Amino acid sequence: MISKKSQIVVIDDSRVMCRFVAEKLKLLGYENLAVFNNAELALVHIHEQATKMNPVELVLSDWNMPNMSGIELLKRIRTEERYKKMIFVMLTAESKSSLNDLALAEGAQGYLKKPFNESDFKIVIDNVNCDVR
Amino acid sequence: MKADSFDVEFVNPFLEGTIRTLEEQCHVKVTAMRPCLKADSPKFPVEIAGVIGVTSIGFIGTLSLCFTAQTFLNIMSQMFGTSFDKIDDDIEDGAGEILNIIIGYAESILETKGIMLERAVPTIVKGDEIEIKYLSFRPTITVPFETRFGSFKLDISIERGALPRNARQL
Repeated sequence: MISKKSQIVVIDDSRVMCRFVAEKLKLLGYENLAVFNNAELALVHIHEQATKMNPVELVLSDWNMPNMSGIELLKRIRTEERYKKMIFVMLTAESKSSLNDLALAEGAQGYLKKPFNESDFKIVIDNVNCDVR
Repeated sequence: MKADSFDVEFVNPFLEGTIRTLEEQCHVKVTAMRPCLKADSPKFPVEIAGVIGVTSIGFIGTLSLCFTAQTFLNIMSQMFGTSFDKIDDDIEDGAGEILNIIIGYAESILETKGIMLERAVPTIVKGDEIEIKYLSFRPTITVPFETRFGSFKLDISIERGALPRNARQL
């Protein structure tokens, strides 16, 4: 279960969306946010935090990004035993319903389609938090 | 295809997507005006635009979401609940991201009609009174939108091949 002190990573190649998601998390009371426009840099941060014994507990990632996509990031994370408790939520403007199933099959706990409002966002965060209690 | 035969079934999902995206993501209520040919539409001083190319079986296209600087700043200010007075690195990609979400929304409707779109990464163009030229033999459609924060427009340029069968005409 994540807490208000949990380490959280937000990844989106759009700076506007990163800011939007980070601000919604802050409004919900989450304090420790790291924001990246690039999944590769986010993965480095995730590894560093694990090494410091201060692991990232929640990742919110865009799907469609240059270089490393959100689904590639998810697959990389799920290959490592040490990240098995990490909660992963995919945020995406992709419309195909099959992608939702793919993300869940690869180990995402939540999936939120853009556009979304504060209420949609809170529901998904609350749901993923409940599911892992 | 004649200039007046653009497919309303193709345009409407983008129109709905624009209304939904601006309302949900940016808290901006939007009224869509009547689509028209870009060549016949009043001059619009574009100062920032998100541009995305799309492809599908039978056609390729380009969509541009075009704003004046002030309307864009107003919409971003509304989205974040804070006042922006200049378009900087932190907000300029909003024009592309909003368009990206609009296209994603439209894709979900078009998919039910058997039209599968693929889209490129958004590009942002910014400057004083930009003119976006579409290299297409077909006329570009402009959908104007009104908000209490100012007006903006969506240009849709489709090229090569036919639009979906059984299409009604505008």
